[in-house]
Amino acid sequence: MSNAAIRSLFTGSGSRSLLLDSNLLLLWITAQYNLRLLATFKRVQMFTQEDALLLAWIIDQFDAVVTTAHVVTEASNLGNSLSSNSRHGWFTALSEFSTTTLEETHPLNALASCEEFIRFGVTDCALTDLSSKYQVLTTDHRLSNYACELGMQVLNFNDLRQMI
Amino acid sequence: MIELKEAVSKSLEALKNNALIPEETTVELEEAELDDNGKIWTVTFSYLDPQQDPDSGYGRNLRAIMAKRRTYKAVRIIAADGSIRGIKSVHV
Repeated sequence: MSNAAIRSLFTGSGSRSLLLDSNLLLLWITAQYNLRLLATFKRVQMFTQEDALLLAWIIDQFDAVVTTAHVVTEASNLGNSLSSNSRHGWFTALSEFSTTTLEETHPLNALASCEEFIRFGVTDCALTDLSSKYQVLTTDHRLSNYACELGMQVLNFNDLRQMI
Repeated sequence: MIELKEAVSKSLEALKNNALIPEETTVELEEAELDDNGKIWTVTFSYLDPQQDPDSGYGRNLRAIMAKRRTYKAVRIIAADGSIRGIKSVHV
């Protein structure tokens, strides 16, 4: 990736961790398993091979990828809609991801007391809570716009796609 | 009127004869479809492109995904006589 503007966004990220939202974790696991699914798997058809490359490049700018129990559950539920031919390989890739990631968990009652809980629901509420600790990457403009206004570390992947 | 098997075979032959796919790669059939009028076959192939070797300066994850990236080509054939109407790259 030679785009200077994108590079500048991630300057100094090498010691930080990246937290992906459910759609991007789904893309990442799918790309790890089989890029050909981008053409046929409905849940990731909005992404291209170039998007998978961009995501891989972004991940390389960070020390690690972290996740939450809620994000993994959503990605897993979406992955579950794959055909039986693909499901084994896809879940094997998710299993391999589990050996390299740190999984953050939030009790429901802790999230329920957050201002973002009603506005965004459980999964994204946890992401906003963790944005003080990690760089969050999402495809949800509603979430990223809100987070941006509050100075949270949340970037929108779709904005980055358009910068290339 | 050519049938599916012949459409696939002629499409692959067209790609190879025009040097549109690298010789040393394994080509896989992705899709073959006759249009609703029964006039044009569109046959799509994909392959791992050895010319897209990842730069060793890239990070581990980018290199891994680049090595899996596939190139797609679609061949359009006139069903009536099997002649090639066109070949194009498909961006996935």
